[in-house]
This record gives sequence, C-alpha cells and structure tokens, in this order.
Amino acid sequence: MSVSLNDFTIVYGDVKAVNQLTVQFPEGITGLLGVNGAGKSSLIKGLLGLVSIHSGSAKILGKDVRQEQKAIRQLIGYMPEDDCLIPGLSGIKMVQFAGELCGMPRQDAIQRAHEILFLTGLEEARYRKVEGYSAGMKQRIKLAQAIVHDPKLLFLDEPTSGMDPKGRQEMLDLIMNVTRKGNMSVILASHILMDVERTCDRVIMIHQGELLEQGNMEEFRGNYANAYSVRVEGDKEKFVKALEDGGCEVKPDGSHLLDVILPEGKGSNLVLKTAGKTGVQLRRLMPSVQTLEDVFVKRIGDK
Amino acid sequence: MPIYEQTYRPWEGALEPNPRTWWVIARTGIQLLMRKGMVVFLFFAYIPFFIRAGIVFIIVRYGDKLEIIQKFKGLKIDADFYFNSLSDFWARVFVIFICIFVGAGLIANDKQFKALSLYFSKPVGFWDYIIGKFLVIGFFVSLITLVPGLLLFLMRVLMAMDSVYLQNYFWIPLSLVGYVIVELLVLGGLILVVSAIFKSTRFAAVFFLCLIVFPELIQTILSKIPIIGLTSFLVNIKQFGAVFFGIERPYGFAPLWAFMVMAAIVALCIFLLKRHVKPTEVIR
Repeated sequence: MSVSLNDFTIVYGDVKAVNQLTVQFPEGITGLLGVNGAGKSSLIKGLLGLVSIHSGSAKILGKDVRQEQKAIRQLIGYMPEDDCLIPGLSGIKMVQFAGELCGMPRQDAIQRAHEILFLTGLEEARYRKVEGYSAGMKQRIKLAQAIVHDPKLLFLDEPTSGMDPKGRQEMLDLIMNVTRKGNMSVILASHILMDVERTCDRVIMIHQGELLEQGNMEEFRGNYANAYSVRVEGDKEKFVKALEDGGCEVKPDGSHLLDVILPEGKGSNLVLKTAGKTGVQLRRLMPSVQTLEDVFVKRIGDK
Repeated sequence: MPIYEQTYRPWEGALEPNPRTWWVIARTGIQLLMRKGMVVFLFFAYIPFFIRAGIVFIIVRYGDKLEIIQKFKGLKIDADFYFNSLSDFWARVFVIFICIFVGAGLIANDKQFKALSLYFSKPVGFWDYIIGKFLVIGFFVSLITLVPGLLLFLMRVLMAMDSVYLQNYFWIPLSLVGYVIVELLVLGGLILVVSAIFKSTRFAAVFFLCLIVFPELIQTILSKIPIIGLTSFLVNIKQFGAVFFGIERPYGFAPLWAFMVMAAIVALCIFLLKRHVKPTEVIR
C-alpha cells in the first residue's frame, strides 16, 4: 500500500473537510475523485502535513504522517493545484532548487533539472523566469519540480487545470510515461473525470469529506454495465411500474428516455417482455455505455 | 522521425537526509538578490567605509605629523571609532535600506506566489525556512556592517604593526560581531515579520520604514525624557551595543532595559512568524 488512512479527519473551524476517512491507496495510479470542495486537496495537504490533522492516523509508504513528516516528504513529490512558483527563479533554478531541498547533491540536481525540463517540454524556456510562464508551462514546471528527485509516490492535485485540450493530453501522457518508466505510484486528485478515466487504474470517490465509493476502473464500469437506454410510446407510467415490479431500477433520462438498470442475471428480454405485457411500443432499446462520469453523477445524485 | 525518444529515466543516485536545507534556501536567496542589482547598492553602502579607511590611513601614516589631525580630538581609532562605524546616521540608514531592499520581499513574494506550500512539501521545516531567509538578510547586513568594521580593524593593525594597539583592542572583532548579531536579530526579525504579514513587498517596505522612523522621531522630539528611547528599535540597539564596546552609554537609561525590550521584540517576532508562515492559508 502506498497510502493507508484510518479515521483520518481534517477540520477547518466548524467544517469537516475530511471526515473519518478510512481507505487504502494501492500502488499504481489512483484517481481521487470528487466535486469541488469534496476534500480532495485537503486530504493531500493533510497527508503532507501542510494542514493539521484533527484525528485519526495515516501512513505513507509505511511511515507515520505525524511522526516522520520530513522522511515522507523526501520520498514523495507534490504538484499543488495553485500556481505555486518560487518568484525570481528561472525554470532550471527552480527545479534544481527543489532537487537540492529534497536532498540531492548540487551537481546531480543541476543535471537532473536539465533532464526533467527536457522531458516536460520546457527546454526552451528553462532560463526564463517562472513568473512569465503561461498556464500550461506553469503546470509543467510544477510537475518537473515534483519529479526531479525521482519520488516513489507522486501527489498530483488537479494537474490539468487551466490547460487547453492539447496541453491536457500531453500532460496526461507525460504523467503516464513518468509513472510507468519511473515505477512511481500516483494519487491524482481531479474533478475532471475524463482525465481520471484515461490515466487511473483505480478510483476513490469522496464527497463532503467522506468515502463515496472505491474500486478498479473496470469494476466501476461493470457495476453499471447492465443498464439500458429505453424509449417507449404509450402508457409510460404503467411500463415503468411493471419494470420496477420486475426488480429493475428505472430513472427518467430527459423527457423521452428512460435509464433502466436490470437486476443481476437478467437480460434485455425482460424489457421486451414488459413492453409486450403493458402494450407500449418500444422505440429504442440500447445498452447504456457507462462512463465514469455517469457513475459519478449517479453516486453523487444518490447521496 | 526523431533520432531518439526523450523519456523518463529514474535517477540513479541516493537521496541523503539534508540537515542544511536552510543553507540551500539562503544560498538561493543571496544569488537571486545579487542578480537584482545589489552590487550597485553595496557600492554606495561602502562609501562611508572608504571615507573611514582614508581616515585610518591618514591617522596611522601622518597622525603625528599633521597638526590638523591633532586638533580633531575625536579622530582616534579606538572603540568609539568602530562603534560609530556601526551606529552613526549613515550606517543606520544603509542598514535600514538594505533590510527593506533584501527583506521586504523575502516572505511576501513567497506568499504572493503561493510558494510556501512548495517549500513545505519538501523536507523543509519552519525553522529551516526562517533561518534560510534570515541568513539572506544576515549576509547583506554583515556585508555592509561587519565586513567593513573588520576590514578597518585589520587595516589599522596591519598598517601600524603595533602590538600595543592589538593588545588593547584585540576584542574589537568580537564586539563588532556582537553588535551586528543584536542589530540583525531585531531588524532582521522585524522585516521578516512584516514581510510575512503582508503579501505586497511595497506595503511591507513602507510599514517597516514607519516602524523604524516614527519611534525614532518621537525619541528625537522627546529626547529630554530618556525612557522614551526604549520605544525606538535603533536607540535600543545602540544603547545595548555600546556595552560590547565598553564605551559611555549614549542614552540615559540602563542597557539592561534595552536588552529586555529587544528580547521581547525577538520573542514577538518568533510568535508572529509562527502565526503567519504557514504552508496553506485556511479561510474559515
């Protein structure tokens, strides 16, 4: 396990940003999903010791976050959500500085900073001051300073925020490249579901500081695979009631469509038979392609 | 078709626990300021030193030959001479300006650019950060106070090759160091606090200047009431600093009082820095 939390709680005044969260982050790329204000950033900051922990315990790479903060920070990389830059420094100096702070010898830090800036596509801008970087370049330099010392675990807080589609694509490719080649584990906090869907092996959803759901990406899709999009003409209410009596979960999707989730072990025949029994015309019966977004929206809606 | 693919390669070295992250912070800060035109400022700050060096030269070489020098009784290279090199009007002006120029943005800029969470996500503790920033101020203040003082002493000793002078004043380098440490703790602590409170370098600079100048003005206006001097940072430094040089106290109150006031200021600075230097701002 790269990170394990036990009743982990972070409180700001009267607000519980993270509420008794007990969860394990395995090795690999784990997406931390939640709407804005769900507690994703607070959780990461709490793990890094940037905000104080109210109660509970947590271990990162087997080290206690309360007792061994400095040792943990040496082993991890953190890419913050905000435009965190060290003013006055050039790109190369900032990355070198980050490396030296993590305990790299000076010469190694300089050499490595050049390598990482090449990798992140900032080789041409490396001698420019970081304040003058564009939004995309700022994201890249933040990633560069996080990986310069080759951490074992990388915390990425909204890594594609403020980037254009091409830049986002490149950033996600870069993250996957770095983590696979570098054998790093990653915790990627985001509310952009496509990013998580594309990069992560596993997802942990949190809402209002509490665990909503967790699982592998395939499990997530599998849980909702037995769903159909249905359109009927005729007595819709009667049809819906008959489906519900048959154990289906039915939700309206817009004014015409119905989302039908069939009970386990049942096929689409159930819908056909129910339509026949209730005398409605079936105009559409298509398997719903469930994206992470669908799952997320459903789970948030349920909550 | 690219000749090679630039891809991620793990670093092959081993990370060592770095107990001197404060030094990395200090060194980077000093390098950054050196590139910001500090050299020009330092040149002007050294003008009083060149004048004093000239005085030392003339006194040592021609002191017993020129009548005009003998008329100026104050022109002696004694403890007062070194004390004045640290505490006269121009020395204080340059120290204040260097504190502002160097210190006002040290933490304020980090806060403005939200860099504190970057620092504290590395193996950097509160004291590493504060000591690193403090050393940046310490370096530049020492460069215009301690270094010229030591150079003047060295110049006097080497030019005259006078063992009696050395026997009488061997403690001067220690006094210079003591005075500069006290000055740094008070003024360096204050500018760091002001820089930590404000996100704007300009506000920090103006506020610091007001903190220094207003009590000084009040002290000047009400100079007949000696105890008023305790409200001025510069007066306290000068009064306590005089103890290091074993000279007559410039103000009419006990140096112990000055020491206590300065100790309280330093304690307050630490308290305020702890409150204001935090990796993230929590809006409640």
